[in-house]
Amino acid sequence: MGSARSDLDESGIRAAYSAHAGEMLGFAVRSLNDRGLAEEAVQETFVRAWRFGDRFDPQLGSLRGWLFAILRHVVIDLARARAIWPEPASDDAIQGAAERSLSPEDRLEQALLAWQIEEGLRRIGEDHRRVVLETYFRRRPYAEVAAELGIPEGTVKSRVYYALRALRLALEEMGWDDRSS
Amino acid sequence: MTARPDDHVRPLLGAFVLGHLDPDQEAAVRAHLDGCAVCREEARELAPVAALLPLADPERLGAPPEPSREMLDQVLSRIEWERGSRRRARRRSVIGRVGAAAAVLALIVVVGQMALEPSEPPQGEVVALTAARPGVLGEAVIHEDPRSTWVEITTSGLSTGETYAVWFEEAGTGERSPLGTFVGVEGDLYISLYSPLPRDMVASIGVSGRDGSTVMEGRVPLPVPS
Repeated sequence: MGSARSDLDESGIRAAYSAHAGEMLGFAVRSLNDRGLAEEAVQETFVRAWRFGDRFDPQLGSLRGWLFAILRHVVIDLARARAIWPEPASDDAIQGAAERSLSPEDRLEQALLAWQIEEGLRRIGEDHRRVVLETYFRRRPYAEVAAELGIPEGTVKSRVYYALRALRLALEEMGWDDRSS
Repeated sequence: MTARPDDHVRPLLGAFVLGHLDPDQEAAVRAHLDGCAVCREEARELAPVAALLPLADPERLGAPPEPSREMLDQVLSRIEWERGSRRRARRRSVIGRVGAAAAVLALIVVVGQMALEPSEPPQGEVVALTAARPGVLGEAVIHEDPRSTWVEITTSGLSTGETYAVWFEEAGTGERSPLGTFVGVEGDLYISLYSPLPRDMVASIGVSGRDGSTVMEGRVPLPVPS
């Protein structure tokens, strides 16, 4: 019975909330498209974390990863119960249609990945984020971006390279692992 | 000191995996990758990151939502409530004693207010769960929240390591609305779940095994109008 909470007592929950609730709420809002429901999901996650605190083993993984694992289950349960599934992020008609053809669970997985990559893009430096936004999302020519930023075109390319490297690191920090997917 | 080919090619690998290089540069990078394991590995690491980018919505890159202080307060008050609930549960030391032969599936529903301690939130409705096989005991307590229905289940005798699903049966439609899953453990198990299904739409609560067969169930009485 998950009653012992020697590892995650009330002060532990306060600390965990302070450190991770923001990110968790971001993911929940992204997944559920409903701020109120997302708040409920995060609250439920912390209550479950307190309840099963004795099951958290820091040697097996980070507290953050454990909280996100709980949150993922809570979000899935809530989304199933409410038949709420995230809308495709892409505004591309073909890509959007492909996402809509996925099962609800797979769409939630996609929402998790989408949130992770958006969070990753928030974490990398402004210079790096900017070149990815301009060249990839806005599809602007590298020369045009270089002229606007007042840097050589080669520097824009190398910033794109370092941006993707930094993004990969940020994703890995969030538990993403392409070898297991 | 001359620059190594890697120094020229590596900074192009981001644009390369995004498909942004012109044909000449792309051909040059491909030719380099054929003979350079280090850069090949680098490109292999960047490619899945580039493949994820279409999932992101650039309009969502602003500041993430801020969790409120009230959210934390509600978490702490639920924890405090649950702590008190367990103390009471230990005192009662009662789990609906069911599990008789499946043929005697008399549904026992107990609706009541249990002894309340001062300043504690009101208790929910207690629903005894009727088990389909001997040795399985269960009781649910259903609470009505403004936005959801919250359920606490105390059970024992389920198979250790087995996954079970908890559901509500909706009044009227008879459809099952899932609340969540849990894994059986040795001894008593306490579970707390919630559903967005309004309390007055709940006809019964049940637990099913992996194969979908009902393990235990309890009928939830219609709420008494206040």
